[in-house]
Amino acid sequence: MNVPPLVSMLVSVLGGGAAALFVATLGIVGPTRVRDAYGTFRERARDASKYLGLLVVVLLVNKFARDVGPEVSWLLGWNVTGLIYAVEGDFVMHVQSLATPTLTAVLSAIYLSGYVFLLTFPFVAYFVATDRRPLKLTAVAYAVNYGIGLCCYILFISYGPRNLLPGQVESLLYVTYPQTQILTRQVNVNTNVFPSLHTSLSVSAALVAVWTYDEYPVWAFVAPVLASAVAFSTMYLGIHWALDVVAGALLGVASVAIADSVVDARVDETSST
Amino acid sequence: MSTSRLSRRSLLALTGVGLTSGCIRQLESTFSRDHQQQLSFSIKTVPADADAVATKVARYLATQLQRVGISASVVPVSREELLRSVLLNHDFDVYVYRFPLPWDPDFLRPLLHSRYAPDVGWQNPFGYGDLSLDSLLERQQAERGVVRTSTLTDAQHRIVENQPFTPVAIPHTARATRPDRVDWPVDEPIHSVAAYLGARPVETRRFPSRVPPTAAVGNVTANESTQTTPTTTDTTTDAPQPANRLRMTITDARPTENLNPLSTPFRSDGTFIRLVYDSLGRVLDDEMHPWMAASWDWLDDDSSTLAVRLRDDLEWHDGNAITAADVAFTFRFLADTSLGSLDQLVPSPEYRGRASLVDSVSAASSREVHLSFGDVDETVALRALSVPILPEHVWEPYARPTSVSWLDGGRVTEALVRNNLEPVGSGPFRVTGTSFRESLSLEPFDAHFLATQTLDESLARFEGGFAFDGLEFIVAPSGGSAIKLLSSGVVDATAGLLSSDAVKSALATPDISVRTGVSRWCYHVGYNLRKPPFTNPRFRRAVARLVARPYLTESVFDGRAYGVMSPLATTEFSPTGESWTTVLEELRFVGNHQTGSLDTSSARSMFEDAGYTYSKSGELLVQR
Repeated sequence: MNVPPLVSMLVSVLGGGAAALFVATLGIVGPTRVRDAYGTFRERARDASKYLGLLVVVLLVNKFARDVGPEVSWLLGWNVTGLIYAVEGDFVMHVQSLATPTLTAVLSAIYLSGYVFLLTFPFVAYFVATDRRPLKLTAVAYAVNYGIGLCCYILFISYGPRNLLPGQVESLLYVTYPQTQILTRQVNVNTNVFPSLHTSLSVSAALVAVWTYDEYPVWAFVAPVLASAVAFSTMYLGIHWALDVVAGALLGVASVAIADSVVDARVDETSST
Repeated sequence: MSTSRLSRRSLLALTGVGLTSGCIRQLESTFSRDHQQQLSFSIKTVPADADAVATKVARYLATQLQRVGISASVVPVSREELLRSVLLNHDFDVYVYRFPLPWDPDFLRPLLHSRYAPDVGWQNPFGYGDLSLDSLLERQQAERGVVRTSTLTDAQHRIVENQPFTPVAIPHTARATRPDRVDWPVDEPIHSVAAYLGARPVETRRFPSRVPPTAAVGNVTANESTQTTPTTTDTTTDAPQPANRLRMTITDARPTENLNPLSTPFRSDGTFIRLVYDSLGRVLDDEMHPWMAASWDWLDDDSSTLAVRLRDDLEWHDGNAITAADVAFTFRFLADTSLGSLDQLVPSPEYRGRASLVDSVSAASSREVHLSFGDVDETVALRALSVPILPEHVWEPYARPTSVSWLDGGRVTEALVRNNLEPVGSGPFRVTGTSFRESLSLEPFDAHFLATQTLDESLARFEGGFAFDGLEFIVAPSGGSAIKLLSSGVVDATAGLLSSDAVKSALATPDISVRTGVSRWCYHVGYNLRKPPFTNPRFRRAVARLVARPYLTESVFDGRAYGVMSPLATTEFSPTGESWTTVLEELRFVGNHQTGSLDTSSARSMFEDAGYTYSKSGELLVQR
């Protein structure tokens, strides 16, 4: 029997992400670092467990809320779709005027696999890094992103440009690769576009990457470029408004700032006792 | 933006009054009387994911309204939210969506009669009130033949002149199939009870063991032509497909969330309900035929009472016997789902028009039920026989009042809001499972009369029954992904209507063919006549003249629709003649209706003629 489209999509998206992860682990982290850190794996995991645990809890809550959220949102939420369009107008249409089949293919891959890689590589890289703080920062920043994002999704109802402006803004990802929608439906609800979590998480990952320049100079360069490409792809593919991306970027920065204060405080606390 | 400049009179008022609190109110009213603002309202519709055609029509209308100086914005909301706010809460300015077109024009009566304006559901959602139209609508239901046609012509004149809503188009349907997998009956639209019952598997796919080689060949070519993720492995055996299930895609996930026949926000054209619930009669070839009923006759001594005899040995899906008491219960329940327990009636918003035809109902014996009608002609009266028959033992407990957060005021019973995901009907299919927003599974109901009884001529086509072991509906997020599922062999056909983009990709995919037909949907612009400026028929007529149907049918519907001015335009009741042409001519698009380009200055003077004024910057002004 044939492979169901959902499975084949999952395989290719995660496959792409995993391949990038493998290459980056070899190239950026390097086998030496992994080997050096090997003996301390358990201890490192215990050290960061509090923060990783927080992320897991937030993700579980998020998963549950995705089913209930939209219903609550229709009751409480403020439909800002029209407002966003009134503010930014046809910006996304102009972005799409750049469209070529090659660019669509590249940005679709970045939106799906590039994003997965950008978010997961930090866990690998920072887990074996000399400085253990970035791993905690990353976990907390992601958790804050999801937490605040979820609140926004309940407070604001917003459909993306492809849903408000059919015919003007192309739903490039789903028109070019219809099967991807079967996958993204599993993780996204189409009323949840403000802010762009793709953007915010990418920005958070990129910021932490810049902070870790000393340890991973290549990643400090790659991550911001990839994050920008992810943010751009969300507009190019007609999924997000420019305002979603701006709000997402702000959320990404704020999340790292919050993570910074949280993780700092904990470190001080433990060191002082 | 319009400014809130103080007029001279307001200034005088301001200097003239002292600063007591009572005067503040007076000052406000003086202020607001002079205060004019740009007219601004929202157009509710569904997002492109749900129905790109509706979104596009709404966008087009918003753009035209902006050209004539009205600040109109499109507010996309989900299907169920749209139906809740428009049909249940009447909380909207303007909406763009579609309503189902039943086979008999009597649907216009609940849709537009003023006595239904306080009702919910597809009962006068516009809040339209027109005594002349009321009497025409009452008359037509008692008439037949040319007399009725003439009354309906008059009714359409009034409707089109007054524009309680502006019809836009009746689209063609398009659905994609795999002819190499399933043979569909030629005369029935796919996704109808008759088509499912008549569908036959194509022999080559009956043997599960042979599936990998045969299916793979077709799929490799399909994938190449659409250059997508190669499906390289044939080794996934973790989800073996049952050998003989008919699998369909739906793009509208609502049937996986709610299967309550009375739940307006979740109902569409009623096909899913008809699969699960039987009715006394069924419309086949535009005529009501006995279905659960063995036969019916008008009583000799009372020509307004119909005696309906049920077939023998009818059973509910839970094994209980169906009696005439269930039928009598159904009509009482539709008329008042609280069964008299509340101080007011709580009718079902679904089937309201049809149930309203029946004055009273009684079970004459366990097999026979008597329905008495008011002043209603036979053809119209028979409409009442198409309501789903509900089991009393299941529904009676749900007559309790309840409250739901999404309903603004009004009484509601549990019966109207329950999900009913394990429906007990008596239809040819039984629901075996639902997966929220993912799938709905049914299996043929073995004790159904189609399977167990000898059938007369009108039902002879259903001889042999459903040819598969199961019927499954899988939610695809879009038409495009539905075609993908179809080409990769996960499903056998699409049940939901395909967008023009999806039709194009279906036609470009080998092994897939597209079946088209005329739909029973009317896309329209609905106005809320409960609030200004929509109270003003001149305003509505002016808005109606911003709609360029030939342009829309070509560009939005891709040529696959009839542009219509009346919802009966595609029926035998479509008016003809000079006076009709004049009525239509008066509502002609202002501009070039082929290119859709608006003659802005004429359009603006049209609004001026309707009594509106413009600011210097071209904004249409209203008093605030």
